[in-house]
Amino acid sequence: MEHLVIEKAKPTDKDFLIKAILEADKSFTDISSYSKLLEMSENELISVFHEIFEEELEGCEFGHEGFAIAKIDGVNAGTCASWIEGADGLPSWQLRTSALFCSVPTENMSLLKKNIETFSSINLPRTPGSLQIESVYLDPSFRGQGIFLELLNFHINFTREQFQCGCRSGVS
Amino acid sequence: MAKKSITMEINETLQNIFREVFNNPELVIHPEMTANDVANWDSITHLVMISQVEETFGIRLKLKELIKLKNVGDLIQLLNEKKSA
Repeated sequence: MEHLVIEKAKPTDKDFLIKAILEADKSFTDISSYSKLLEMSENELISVFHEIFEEELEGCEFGHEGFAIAKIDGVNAGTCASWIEGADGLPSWQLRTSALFCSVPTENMSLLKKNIETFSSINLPRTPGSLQIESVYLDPSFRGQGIFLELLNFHINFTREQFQCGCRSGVS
Repeated sequence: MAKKSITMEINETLQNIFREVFNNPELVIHPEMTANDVANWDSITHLVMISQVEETFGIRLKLKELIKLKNVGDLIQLLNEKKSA
């Protein structure tokens, strides 16, 4: 593999992170569950996520803080987010739901009742205190090279260091 | 009869919202209460509850405010601040 660097994401990486959230959510289909749920185009959703990312949310995948990025020769190759569920006192579903409530136009939010099944599917049950991995995305040209494993190890080691140095608490 | 304090009014109104949204007429809210303590408090009912709070109290809640709410007590305090402002 060429020169691989894995680092914590920065606010300036948000375009790639938002792409990762939407691409990962598509799960090899043409449309993300957010698009289906809110009946919004991909471009409309990208605008919504740009607004959400301005708040720098921690504790779910809706902020740059939880992401690590793999770069090969300076090019974004892949990314994924991690966090400890509920470490700051709020479950990730509550953060995610609040973010959508505040950033999605009211008329689209009102479609939730119609699309309740899809909405339930994006809020999986998660165990408080456990490490969560979400929004895994690798650029198609960099797949099959073991980059995700490197990203996963980065997240595990970073989280372990955070708890060992006492920077974080709340893990089980 | 003494005039109800703003906090008492907020508590009472919020409790009525919770009883209706979470479909439990016996529900009694308390400051330490979280989603873990209330049956039916999930992503959908959370959305309904926030929009009911906004509509009933005539306020708008910002994301930076919502993500700081760790329990019902935090919500009561925020509503107090907004109604007193």
